[in-house]
Amino acid sequence: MRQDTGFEQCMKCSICTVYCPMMEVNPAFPGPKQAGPDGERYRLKDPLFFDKALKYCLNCKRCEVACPSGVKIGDIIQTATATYGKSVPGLRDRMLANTDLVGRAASAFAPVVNPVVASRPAKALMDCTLGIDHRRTFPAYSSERFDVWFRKHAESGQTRHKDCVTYFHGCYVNYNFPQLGKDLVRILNAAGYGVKLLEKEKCCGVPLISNGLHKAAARNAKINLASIRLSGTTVLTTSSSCTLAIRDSYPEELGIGNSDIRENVILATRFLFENVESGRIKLSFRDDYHARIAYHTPCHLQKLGWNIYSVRMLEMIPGVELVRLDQQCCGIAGTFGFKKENYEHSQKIGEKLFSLIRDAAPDFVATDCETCKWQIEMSAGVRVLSPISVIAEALDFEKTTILNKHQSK
Amino acid sequence: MTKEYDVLIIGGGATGVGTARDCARRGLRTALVERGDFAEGATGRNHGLLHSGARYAVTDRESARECIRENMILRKMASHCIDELDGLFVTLEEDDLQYQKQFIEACRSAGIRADAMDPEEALRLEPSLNPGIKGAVRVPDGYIDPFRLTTANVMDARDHGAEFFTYTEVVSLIRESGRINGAVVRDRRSGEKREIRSRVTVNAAGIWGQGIAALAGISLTMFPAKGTLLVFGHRVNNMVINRCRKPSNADILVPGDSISIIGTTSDRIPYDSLDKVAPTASEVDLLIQEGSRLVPSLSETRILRAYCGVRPLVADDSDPTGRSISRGIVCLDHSQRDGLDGLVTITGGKLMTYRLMAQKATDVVCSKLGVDVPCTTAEVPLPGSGPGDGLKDGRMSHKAAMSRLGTLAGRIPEEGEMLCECEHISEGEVDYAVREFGAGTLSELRRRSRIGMGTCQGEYCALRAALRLKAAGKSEAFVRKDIMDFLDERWKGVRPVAWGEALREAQFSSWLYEGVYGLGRDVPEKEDEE
Amino acid sequence: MRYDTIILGGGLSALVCGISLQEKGLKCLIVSSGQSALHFFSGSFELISTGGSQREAMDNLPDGHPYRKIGLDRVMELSKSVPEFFARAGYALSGEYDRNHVENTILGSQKQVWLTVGSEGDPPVRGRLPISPLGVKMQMDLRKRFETLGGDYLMGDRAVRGEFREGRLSSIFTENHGSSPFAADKFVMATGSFFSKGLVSTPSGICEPVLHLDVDFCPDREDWYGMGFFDNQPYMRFGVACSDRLEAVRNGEILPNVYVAGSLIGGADPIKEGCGAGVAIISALYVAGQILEESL
Repeated sequence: MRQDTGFEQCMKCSICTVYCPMMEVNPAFPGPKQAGPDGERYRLKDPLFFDKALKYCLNCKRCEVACPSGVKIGDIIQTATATYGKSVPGLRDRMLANTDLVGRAASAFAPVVNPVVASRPAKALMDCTLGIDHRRTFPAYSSERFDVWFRKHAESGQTRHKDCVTYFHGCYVNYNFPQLGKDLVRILNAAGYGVKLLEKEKCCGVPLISNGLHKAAARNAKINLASIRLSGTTVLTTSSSCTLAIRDSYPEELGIGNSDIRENVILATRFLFENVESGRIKLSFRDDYHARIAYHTPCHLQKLGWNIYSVRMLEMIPGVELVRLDQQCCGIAGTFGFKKENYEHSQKIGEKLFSLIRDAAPDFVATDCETCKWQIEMSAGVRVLSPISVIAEALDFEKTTILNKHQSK
Repeated sequence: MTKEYDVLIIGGGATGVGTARDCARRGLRTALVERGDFAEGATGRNHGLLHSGARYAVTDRESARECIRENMILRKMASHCIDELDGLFVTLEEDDLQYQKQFIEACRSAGIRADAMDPEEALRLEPSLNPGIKGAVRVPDGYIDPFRLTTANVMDARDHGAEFFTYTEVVSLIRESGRINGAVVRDRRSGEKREIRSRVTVNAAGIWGQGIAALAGISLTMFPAKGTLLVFGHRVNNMVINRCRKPSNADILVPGDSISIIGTTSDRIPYDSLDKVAPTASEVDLLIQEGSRLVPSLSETRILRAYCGVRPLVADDSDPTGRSISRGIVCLDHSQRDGLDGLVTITGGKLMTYRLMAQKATDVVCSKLGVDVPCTTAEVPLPGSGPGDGLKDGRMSHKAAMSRLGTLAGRIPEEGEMLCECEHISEGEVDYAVREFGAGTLSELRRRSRIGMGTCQGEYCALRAALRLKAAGKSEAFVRKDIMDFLDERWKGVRPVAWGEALREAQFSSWLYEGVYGLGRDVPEKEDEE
Repeated sequence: MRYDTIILGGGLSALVCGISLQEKGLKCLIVSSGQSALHFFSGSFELISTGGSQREAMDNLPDGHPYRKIGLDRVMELSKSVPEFFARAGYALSGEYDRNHVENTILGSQKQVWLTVGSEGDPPVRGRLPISPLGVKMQMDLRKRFETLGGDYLMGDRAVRGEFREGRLSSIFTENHGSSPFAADKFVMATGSFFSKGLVSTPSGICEPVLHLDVDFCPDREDWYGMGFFDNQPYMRFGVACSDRLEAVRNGEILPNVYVAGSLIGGADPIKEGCGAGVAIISALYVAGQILEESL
């Protein structure tokens, strides 16, 4: 299953080690260079050289962004864990990884589940039985799933638009925060685009991969890719990690080819920016909207290199005062930070970002990743919104709809 | 008064140190001189192939028999130097499958296990193989690390009282009343000359043995054959891969430690050009071209370096013209051959049979000295070998140390900074090699620890290791000069393959060592006293 | 996306060029395929260190050296502006713009250097030799200055090809942004030498992989190297062909809106002449000056 990770191109320059957030707080983690290309040479010699400390890798890909040689260091580490790390994930890891399954169940009983999960006794119980840190708060589940809402309330109206895009909402929008999905649908409709959902959408696979459930991730990947192919349109996302998974992890960590559709899967802010820039979409913002916003670049968005689109979209809003935070990892790394044994490391890593946010004193933080959002809300005490939700708050829908009238049938 | 030894051995290759070990273990007062460092000659300049003997089965049955016997002995007594990989002899599309039959029969009659298998099974065992192979035979080939083997022999010999003098060259032999009583040697570092007196002298100087014999006024004709090899950046294959045909160019690919080695070429060279051999561009091109027939991915794989060695082929005594060259062991008692007592020459053979060669030479020495102690080197494991020398759990650098030092790894502190990141060598392991293996320069340290043998070819570890030498008492000026010598030596091997990543790495090394650390561009150069 | 100037490469040369242009209000994009060799910064810049006064030493430079293209007097003029440039970025450099001073290296040898960065206090970032915490900090600070001035910096992205129209480069495409072009009036190639993959070598030749600019190199591989590691290494002088105005050459023709800066320019030996940082900074300032002149 080993993909072309470019590990031979490593110049041993060590630049990656400067940018690894885990190395800085955890001496047990050998760092991206040793865990990645250096370790790989020895694992090729004898799989017994697999080092259990690889589990500390956040898979933030900051090493890959920094590498001057194009080595896919994070992929090497993740693939090694999948290939050589034989441990079977326990109940907790499987629970955290199966966002789909757990989300589906929890959504159905949201009014009961939410207060219970957030309660002190339940947290203590989850801490000692499951190893989910009691200082963590699970994001609340929504009582109506996004896809259910969409089919009930929005789907029928979508065909009146001339152009159509598909929305990959992901687990977070579906189970925890449907409002973000609703915001996107509203913006796109106003911009003259109809929205449809994939015929079958599964969890993108990120939490499965990082919990060692590669087979399950591969199953999901195949279903998602088949649906994306079937859709025949551009597929928009609002989560940077889902996007990176579909574009890069499928081929590089799961060995599932996607080159035919890779370029069609893009973050909604990029789609909006490029269409505004080309004049296909015109947006009109409210003049009474004012906000001081600190923008945080999620690690996976930095890897995609697409933070500039989110930033440009926010800068487009006349009433926005934007502070671009230095790119720092928030420390949560998806499900990683929820685990009891990682809590301290997770918070130490995030501290730099939290203090940058405190210094910036924004009305709220904008970011494109749901787990960054949880971490910042939990740890910095600031509200966090997706740029899409910010745009929705600031957009003059009426004017925008009129400006884009020509787009409708 | 000069100390008199029972035996003086000339040459610190595998054969020389093996002979020293055998002699010392049999209670002889033993000295060894080596003009450079241990394993600097042919010992460290081959594939490191633990031959099953299959390669010689068809052409030289006696060598094949020797190989398989020694193979089985070394697996036990040098287990920490050996990787029991097994090998495949593969028949390519352009090769004749008929040869395979002859090959298997010859193997079996030489006592070598040889199992034919179909291409699918071979590809499953060794996925790197050319998918177009017509057939394969599995034999008990393996990898043997020549540096570790040499170090372990030195260590054990020293434990039994042998004395070693490196950087010491023989200027002349002491010839008194028709016999050789030792040698006049010169310390190449201090320039100082002195006598080492011994009752018997063993010429184990490999290809340079012709010169030693000449000092005794004896004619011994060597036929130097240069062989060039390439080192690939990582293990491409996990079994030894041979081509199932008559031995030829670039037909063996050995996974040696963390790398793979393809070789060799074979060219006769004049004896006087011995010390000037270097790999050429056309040899490199040939090795890549031929090697990628065995394993297609070789044409895309990063090459770390090229190097060459000179085989000590010796003319059969009965045929001094050199028409019939033996690859077998040649052990000459010069009192019988030339009427000159006190001198024994042990040559020919190969790394694989070093122990047997040592045994043969020591047997002759003992019979001359009237010592009747049996050889034990086939039974007693080398230091580091033995039960529990496998890989156990631990930190990366500790696991790597176990893979290199066997049972000796327990003597290295488990904590500590990683010094060489390519080969996962901790500061503790480097300090150990400095202290226990007598490594006093970076090149010596390389042969005793693998520093500088990985991907970056010393770019990272040279400075860090030099700082350990400094910590062990070397002066700053010595260390500066030593880094320069070391990088120069590494560059010799990189130069023939310096394109792509190798050139990037070389440029990076130049920036660091010349540009940042300022080596080689010092304004006023200070000479050092060390 | 459209910019006034797009700079490929993200090291010292690219940053100096980008900051100079942003300081004058030009909107720039830097595309950097990973972090740069500034991470191994010794703490001092060199302009030329072959002995004597700098201006005199330059008289011995071979034809085709980037300093000769720029003009030796112009080089000294630009050199004079360097301390101020870094002062604006928060770095006080010691040393004279026209005279070398001596600095000790960590191995106790001495080097003739041009300008030295003071390093007071604790190192701001982690790093084990050869990583230079000072170099890492400088890289971060210069990038931050560039971005604060309004520049966009794409880290970890690789330009893969360019689109040419009427003998000019009109836009470039990158790995991360796929089919979305980045367009600009001017482009600066500061992608570095072999280490940074600005040049790519194979057994049979050397190329510039993004725009396929013409490269000056010896055809026979045997001639690329010196025998000893510390000998002259001819490959160090290989680089992209360019005009005296440092415009790039492609298929034998000058590309009027593509400039070359830093170690990608051929003709210099950064090691033997001790001019690595000098060529990076001076050529960047020179190119920025021309771009500014033309956009007035």
